[in-house]
Amino acid sequence: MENLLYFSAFIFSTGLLVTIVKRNAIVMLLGIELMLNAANLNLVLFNRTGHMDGQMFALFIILVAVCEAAVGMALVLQMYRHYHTTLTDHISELKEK
Amino acid sequence: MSLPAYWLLIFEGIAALAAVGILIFRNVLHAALSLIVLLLCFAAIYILLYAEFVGVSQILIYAGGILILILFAIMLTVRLTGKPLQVNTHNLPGGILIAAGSLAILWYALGGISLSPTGPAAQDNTQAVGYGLMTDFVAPFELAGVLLLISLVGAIISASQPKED
Repeated sequence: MENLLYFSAFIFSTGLLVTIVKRNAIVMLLGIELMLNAANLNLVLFNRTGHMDGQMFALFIILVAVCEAAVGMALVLQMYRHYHTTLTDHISELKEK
Repeated sequence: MSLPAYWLLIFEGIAALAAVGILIFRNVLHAALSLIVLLLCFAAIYILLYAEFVGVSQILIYAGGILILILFAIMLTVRLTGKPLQVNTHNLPGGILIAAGSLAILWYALGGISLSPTGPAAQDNTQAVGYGLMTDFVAPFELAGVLLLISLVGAIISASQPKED
């Protein structure tokens, strides 16, 4: 059972690394999903039978992740339409010139 | 208890390989496909931890919903040259430093914890989750509906073409 804690820490760190290192906005979102899943796994692990707090929090985190993915993908599409790229380095202005 | 412990290790290994795959694949589509593998392994781990409802929600929402959205976004943002979308890395030393630091801190902090093995609940898991949603967690449950509506409207508005006039 305890190795799942180390495993979720590893997944979290990998997600952090993906988010920092990759240059594409979509892959950065994949890294964020990794981190959310690692947190979810910890919540389910620390859940004890009898009261369901951990599993409830895991469900609500899944729900917030859905909202985040939908809005994030809409922003990525709009970004691509405007700048013709999804590389975050090339997106340096907020206002149309 | 020997069978779940055995299978947990297998799914952990596959999920760890998939996470490393997301890190090293340069093609964005391959990274998204290895995220599917990871999410399905997580669902299997949840079911082995007797959290069946969370596991099935994981399959339905993550592997069924979010991944389809991500695949759509990848396919709509492929460059016009027709080449597969490649992604390069930057900030590699700093990123590795930060990630290794967080891994070390987490492993140090989580090292002393011993978990009692969770057994199957006396009550049916799905039934318990349903009771929880309607009693203790009814306020966040209702707020979740509002949040979903807001994000739906926001996604539609921010993804729609601006009117040309």
